[in-house]
Amino acid sequence: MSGNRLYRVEGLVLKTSFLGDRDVLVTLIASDGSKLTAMAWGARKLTSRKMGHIEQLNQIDVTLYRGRNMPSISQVQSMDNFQILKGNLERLSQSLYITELVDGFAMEANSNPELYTLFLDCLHALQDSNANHMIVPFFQFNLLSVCGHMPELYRCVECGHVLDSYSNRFCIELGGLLCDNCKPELWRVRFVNDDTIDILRLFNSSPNFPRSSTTSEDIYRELRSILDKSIRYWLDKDVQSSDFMDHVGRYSREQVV
Amino acid sequence: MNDQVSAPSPVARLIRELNRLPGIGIKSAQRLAYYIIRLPSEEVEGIAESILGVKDKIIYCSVCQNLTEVDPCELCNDPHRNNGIICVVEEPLDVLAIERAGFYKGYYHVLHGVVSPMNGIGPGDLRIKELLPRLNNDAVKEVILGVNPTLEGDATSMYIQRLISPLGIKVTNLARGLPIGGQLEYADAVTLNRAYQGRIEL
Repeated sequence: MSGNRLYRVEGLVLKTSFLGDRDVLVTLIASDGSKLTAMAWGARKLTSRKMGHIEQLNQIDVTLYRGRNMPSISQVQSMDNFQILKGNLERLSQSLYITELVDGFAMEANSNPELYTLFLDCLHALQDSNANHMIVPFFQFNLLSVCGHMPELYRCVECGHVLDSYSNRFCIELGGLLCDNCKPELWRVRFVNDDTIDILRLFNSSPNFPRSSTTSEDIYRELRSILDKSIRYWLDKDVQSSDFMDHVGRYSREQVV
Repeated sequence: MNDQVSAPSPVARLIRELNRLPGIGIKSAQRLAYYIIRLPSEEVEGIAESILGVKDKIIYCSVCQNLTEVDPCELCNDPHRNNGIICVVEEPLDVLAIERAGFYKGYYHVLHGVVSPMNGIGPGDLRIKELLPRLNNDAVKEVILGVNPTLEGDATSMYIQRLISPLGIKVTNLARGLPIGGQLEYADAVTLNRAYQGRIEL
């Protein structure tokens, strides 16, 4: 019977928290996109065989033992440590931000393989990129998309009419662009630049992470503002790590200037 | 929970207060409470006085930010220590661990935590800004970043290194690698890589 209690999972470590003097609670997103929490007993001991493998942002192959309350980690092997990414403060801050978003949107026992693939692809893109600040907005847009909240960019979210290319009115709460005739009274409507809409539509049509970024600072700020507020709306809480990411990013841009 | 409800109210309050401490669950709190009840009055007074005393008498050292009774602390007041080195650590307990080992004779700086973006702890929540004025005199030649080798510890190290590097002061990290008593075959790739990079000639 005990053999049935062991099962293997591939996943990415979202966060770890210490319990007592010895144990670590590991939260990971499995390759099927569901979130799970497992206990790594004794992992904080200096000679532990698990601690190095269960670090945050590691891609791991883990054998779990199905316990009465929660699974415990029996064996674990890291598949990718994203070492280059972790050695660069700006990329690390971006990775922690996207990790917090995945932690917020992923749900226990709810399969969403596209979410796992998107997260993994984003970590690879951050690892391989060279100061490409469009990776995070691309991830934000696609995160909303794979979680069923993709902004509507081609039809009016109020009346459903196909939009011409000059519709510049966006409503976060309704989740997309509005035509000129619709004026929702309950929700705030904001005006967005043509270039910002073009980038959002490009994100919608492109399957791959952008390899370069040539956007102006103003457009980038508007893009981030729309996506940040959309994520804040659907997540229904503040994203704690965004301040640190913006702080580090601002410092890096000043250094480049 | 039934024990707590049926316990006399002073006992229930003690259980509730003990339960607020980190790592103390309701069962442990109940055991501790009934242990305290069985202790002689003088011993209980000693425990209560020490808890109150810790809150009244302990302050932060204005130099190294460690917990102390006098300001500056004993370590910062020691003229025999090497004023060319400052070791930056996460917590006051780390100072005790290094002092216990007995090899380090420089000064310290305690951050009281690490950058933890996902928990909303940024550089502004740590005692980093108190470190920078200490580096403005020519005496300090090296800053040792002695934070824990975790992702958050590394983020903190990189952030501090970024602040200090324009000052032209040498910034070093404690070596990472294989623990004594550990086994090579179970080490992860990062640990092995760090151990390889930090190898020393025999």
